Amino acid sequence: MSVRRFVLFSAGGRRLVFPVEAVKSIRDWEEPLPIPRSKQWLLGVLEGEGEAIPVLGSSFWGGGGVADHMLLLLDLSGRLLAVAGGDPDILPLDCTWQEENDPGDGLIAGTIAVADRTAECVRVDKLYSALGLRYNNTDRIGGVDAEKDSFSR
Amino acid sequence: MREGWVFLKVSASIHIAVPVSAVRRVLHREDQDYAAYASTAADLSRELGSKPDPELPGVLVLLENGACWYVGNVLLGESVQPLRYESVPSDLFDRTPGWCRGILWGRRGRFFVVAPEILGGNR
Repeated sequence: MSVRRFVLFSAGGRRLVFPVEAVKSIRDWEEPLPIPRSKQWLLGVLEGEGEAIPVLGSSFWGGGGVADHMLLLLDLSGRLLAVAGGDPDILPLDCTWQEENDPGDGLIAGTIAVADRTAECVRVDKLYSALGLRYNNTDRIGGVDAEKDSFSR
Repeated sequence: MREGWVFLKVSASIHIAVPVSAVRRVLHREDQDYAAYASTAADLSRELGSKPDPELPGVLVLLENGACWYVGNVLLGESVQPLRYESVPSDLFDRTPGWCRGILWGRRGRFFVVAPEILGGNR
């Protein structure tokens, strides 16, 4: 039986879990360059490799919590997205999450108990869709298979 | 052919780059026809939700497409080299196409590469 691994990351006062396949790296904080007249969730952009990397501000998750001090870099079919937050951890877990009843946008696949506290499992493809970020949903270039992320059944 | 840039300081925090080929003239306050163009100029600091910097002299940029911009100052190209270009995806803007097509990253500054047809009342 294969053991699935997940990355725990705090953002906007929430504890979030991402499938490790979707995480390209975890970086120290660097100040994003704000872009005027851009989407509300966009904290700014970072220098990338040919294309600027958008940074998702923690206010998207509701705000609160500790100040952003790290960046979680997601990769969905080659499209990069940095999530502002902190306190990362890598967890080897079996898949015993509590599935949600899909309260709306389906962004949260369910919850999982980590060290006696609950964390929310983020569907990476739904996150990109909620932000309006385009990606090639037929490719599988590193990162997660865009058509079926690791929390899909 | 490699495109050259005109670098403009819109406000203290916003610097932009426009292709040389899109710019017809840059007018300074001491230029004779400055006042004639000033009344019709679009203030880019306001367009981009920033505050004009009163410390800056204020120049007008006349574009080939007929638009006229008011910005804080013009920067000399040689003072901002070297630069690396990166595109900015249009899906980062509510209105598409977005006003910014890319960013020139340099050790001495970051410059938004502007789509001249988007800013300044030429939408």
